[in-house]
Amino acid sequence: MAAPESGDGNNGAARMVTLISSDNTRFEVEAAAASLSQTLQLTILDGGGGGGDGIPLPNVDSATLSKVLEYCIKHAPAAANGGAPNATAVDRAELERFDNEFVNIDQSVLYSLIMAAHNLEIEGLQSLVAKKVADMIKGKSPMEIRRTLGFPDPTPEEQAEMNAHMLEYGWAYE
Amino acid sequence: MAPTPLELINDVTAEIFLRLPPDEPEHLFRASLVCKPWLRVISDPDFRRRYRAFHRTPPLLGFLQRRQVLEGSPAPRLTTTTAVPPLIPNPPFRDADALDCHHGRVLLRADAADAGDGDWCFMVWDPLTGEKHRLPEEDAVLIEWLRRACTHQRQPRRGAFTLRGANAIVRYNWTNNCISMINPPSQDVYYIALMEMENGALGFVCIEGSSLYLWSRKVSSEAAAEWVKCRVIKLEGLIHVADHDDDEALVVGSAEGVGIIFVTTGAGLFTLELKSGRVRKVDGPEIYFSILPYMSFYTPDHSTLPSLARTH
Repeated sequence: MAAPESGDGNNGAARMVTLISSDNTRFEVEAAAASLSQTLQLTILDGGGGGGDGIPLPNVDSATLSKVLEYCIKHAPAAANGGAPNATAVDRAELERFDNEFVNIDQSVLYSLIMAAHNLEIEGLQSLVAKKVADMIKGKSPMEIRRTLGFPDPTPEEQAEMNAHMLEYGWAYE
Repeated sequence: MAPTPLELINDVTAEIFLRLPPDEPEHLFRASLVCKPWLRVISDPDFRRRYRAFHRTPPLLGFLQRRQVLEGSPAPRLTTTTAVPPLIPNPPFRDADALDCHHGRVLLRADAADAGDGDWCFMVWDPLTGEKHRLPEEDAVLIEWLRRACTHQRQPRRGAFTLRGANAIVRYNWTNNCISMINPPSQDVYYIALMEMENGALGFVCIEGSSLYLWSRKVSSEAAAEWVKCRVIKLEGLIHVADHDDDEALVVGSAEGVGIIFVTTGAGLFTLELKSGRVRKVDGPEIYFSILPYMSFYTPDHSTLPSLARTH
C-alpha cells in the first residue's frame, strides 16, 4: 500500500516528491499523499519524483492538480491506516464534511477533476466526483440534464429524437 | 481548457452512471436519452455487468402474492412499487398460482389449458417482458414435491423455510442433504418472515402487540445457537391501521438483501425499510398472506429500449 512514511512529522521529515503540471508549475508534496494515485505510487516506489527531477503530468493543469493534491493531503493519513478501520467517528465525520464541501464547486472543475482522478487512478476521488455528478443527474429529464451539465444546445435532429424517445418512455417521466 | 461533459471519456461517464440508484430505474433510462455517446455507454453489456456487480443485490421493483388454499390465490399479477414501463397485458392464464419469484422470473403452477396438454404444469414467467416457458416434466415433479412439503415463506440463500400454518422453521442443509428444525424466538406468532442479516446470520421478523421485532440467530458453535433480539420498531404512528378495534399489523414477507419488510393492516399493504425506517403504502386493503418480492435489475438494453434495437 502507501509509502511507509507516516507524514506526521514526529519521526523526522517525511519524504517529499515534486509533481509538474502541464503548464509547468511545480508542486512539492509528501510521497504518502501523492501515493494515493495508483499511477504515481509505482513511480514513487521506484524512487522517482525526488530531488530536482519531478514527475511531469502532461494531462493535468495546475488549477486541477492543486485541487487533486488538496484531496490527497486530506485523505493520506486515513489511507495510510489501510482505509482507516480504526479511525474514530469524529475523524470519519470530518472527512465526510471535507468531501461534501470539496465537490461543492463549478462543474467545469468537476469534469477536470474526475478526468484527472481517472488518469491518476485515485479511486476515492473518482468515486466522490462521480457520485456528485450522478446526484446532479438524478430526477431530471434528458433536456434538463443537458442544461444542468452544460451540454451544447441540441441540433434540431437531436431534439426531435429526444422528443420521440420521451414519448416512447413516458413511464420514466411520471 | 476545462472539458465539456461530451469530452468525458466513456470510462469516466460509466463511473457516474454506476452511481445512479437501481431502485429507481428511470434515472438510467433518462440518462441514456441525453446523447448518443451516453446511450452507447449505458446499453453496453459490459456496463450492465459492472452495474450489477457494483450494486450486488437487485432492487425491489414490485411484488406478487399468494394465499392459503382456502383463501383462493389471486391471478398472477405483478404490482409495481417503483417506476417501470407499462406492463405487458397479463398473459391469459386461466388458472395459475404464483409460487415463487427469483432473478426477475416468476414460477407459476398453471392449469393444463394454459400449457396445452396434461393436467397441470410449471411455468417460468417474466412479467416485464411477458416471456414464459414451460418447465420440463422432471423439474415439475421436484417442484410439486417441494410445494406440498412447505412453504409460505422462505429464505433460500440460507436454506431456511417456514412451514405453512405452523410456528416452525425448517432448515435444509444442501451440503449434507439434511433437514433440521429451529425453534422460533417467539412461540405464538404465525405471521413471520425470515431474512438474511447484514452479518449473514439468519434473521426472524414478527409483530407482537404494536411493535415489530427483529431477531438474529447467533451461532457460537455447532451445538449452541440462540436468538438475539436486535431491534424493536414501534409501529404506532408509523403504519396506519384501520379504525376498527381488531385490526392488527401482520408481517407477510421480506425482500432479501435490501432490508425491506412487507406489513399488512386493514388499511393496506406497506413496505418498511429497516435501515431508514421509511414506510410506504404499496397497495390497498386485501387479504395478504405471503408476498413474493419481485427483485431485478431493470436497465436500458436492446430488449428494454425498442428504439435502440431499431436504430443500432
